[in-house]
Amino acid sequence: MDNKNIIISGLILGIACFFIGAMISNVFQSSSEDLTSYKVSAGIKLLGMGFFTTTLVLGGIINYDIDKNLKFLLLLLGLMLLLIYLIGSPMLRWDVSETGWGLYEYSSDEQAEIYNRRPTALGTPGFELLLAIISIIGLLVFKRYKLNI
Amino acid sequence: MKFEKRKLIIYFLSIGIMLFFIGIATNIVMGPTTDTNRLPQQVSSVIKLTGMGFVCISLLIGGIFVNDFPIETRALLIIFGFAILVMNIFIMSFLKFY
Repeated sequence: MDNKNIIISGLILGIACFFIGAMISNVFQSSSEDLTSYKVSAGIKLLGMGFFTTTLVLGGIINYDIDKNLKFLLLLLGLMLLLIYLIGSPMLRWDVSETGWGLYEYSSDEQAEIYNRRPTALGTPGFELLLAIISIIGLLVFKRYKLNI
Repeated sequence: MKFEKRKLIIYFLSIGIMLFFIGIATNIVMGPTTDTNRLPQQVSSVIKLTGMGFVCISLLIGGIFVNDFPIETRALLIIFGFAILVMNIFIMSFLKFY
């Protein structure tokens, strides 16, 4: 298998895992007694995003037959995605203890609310939108940069 | 022993990114973290931080010392390597647990 096929397979696998994970949590709905489907779904979704980010970054580094600018864009988007997940990762923690994130202590009502809310494996609602907007802005900045050259 | 730096950087980078995402998933799969059971958070932090360590090292070393990459790629690797390192420092200073 050549490098180009590895990158294509990685992208397909990553995106597919993400959507399969999302489908699992919708088809097999979890309750407060049985959280298995939620955990399986979150695991698959995050592994999918891991595959996707890894493939984007590797796509920008390894040698294969692709346009130089496109390769640069893959690396840029991959690193941006990684940075966004790095900043967002504390939000993905499922912590119902009193110390919470370590920023302040939760009351018992807040703890109950956090337990029921549970991270969606994509962070707080709207996290996907934020990701998409930042990617589009990055793309526009990149295009603008290219035009100036 | 002869290492091919470029390949080593690529392997470490991919392992690091995957470890980071596996670490986030571990927290949810083993969770929730409670006052009596802090194991999910501890395991998750170790995996995430190991992954981020690999990523930071690979990005910075790859950007500075690996001559096989094109110059713009090297610049990008250094910039993001420092950005991720700084972000980690700030996140760890603001939060009690990672």
